[in-house]
Amino acid sequence: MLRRHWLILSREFLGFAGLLAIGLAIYYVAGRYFGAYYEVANFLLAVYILIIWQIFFTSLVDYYLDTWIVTDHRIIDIHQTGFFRRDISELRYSKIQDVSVKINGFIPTIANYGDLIIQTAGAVQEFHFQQIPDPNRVRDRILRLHDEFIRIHVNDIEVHDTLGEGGV
Amino acid sequence: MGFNLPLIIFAFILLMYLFGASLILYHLRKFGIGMAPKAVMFIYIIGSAIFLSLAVAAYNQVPWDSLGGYTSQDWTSF
Repeated sequence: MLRRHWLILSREFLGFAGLLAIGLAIYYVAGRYFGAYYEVANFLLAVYILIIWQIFFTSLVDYYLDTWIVTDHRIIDIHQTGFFRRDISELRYSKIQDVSVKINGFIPTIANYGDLIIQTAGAVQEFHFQQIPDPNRVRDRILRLHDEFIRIHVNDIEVHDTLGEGGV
Repeated sequence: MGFNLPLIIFAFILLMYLFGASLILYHLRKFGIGMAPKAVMFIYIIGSAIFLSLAVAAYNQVPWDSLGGYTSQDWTSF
């Protein structure tokens, strides 16, 4: 099972931490002018933190529900967009035509994450694994599983070696 | 019967928050694969309980009546 690299999550985390820091900075800098409205400022800060917390976890849902599952028979791509759109595609190894890796930029190169693209002969023409960790290793594994799948399947029917030894 | 605008606005914010919270928890519970989404759910519930309590406590500390009186005096002076 694969998800985006943890650096993608930490980037979002830093963004929300920055928003929180801005809110707190405004609260403390403007604090001397609050006067009689000190309690109102406390209340607004509490509501602001609540909203930041909610938006941060909404983005976490997006991160955790975008998943790619690689099994020995198929690849499953689950893509969540917001709360109300969820696309699930399956790809059998017999449909794979080409697997390529794209690592673009300084940080992805250092942190070893990038995109893995599978060209298929199926209804979904391209499977796109976005910002996954160690995409080269994943590509090697998919190619190995693909070879194994092709070896034990004849016309999409699984054939085991032991059948030949038994007496057929 | 009095028309408590701050309470209505705060209740609306809380309702929106609870609606969003139910969506987050539903998605993590139903579609999350593995332990990580469940751990995120747990952290979210704990954090939400703390921050909601803080927001409600902060709301209760605001002297809305005196603020309302000050505001209305301010407006009538125009």
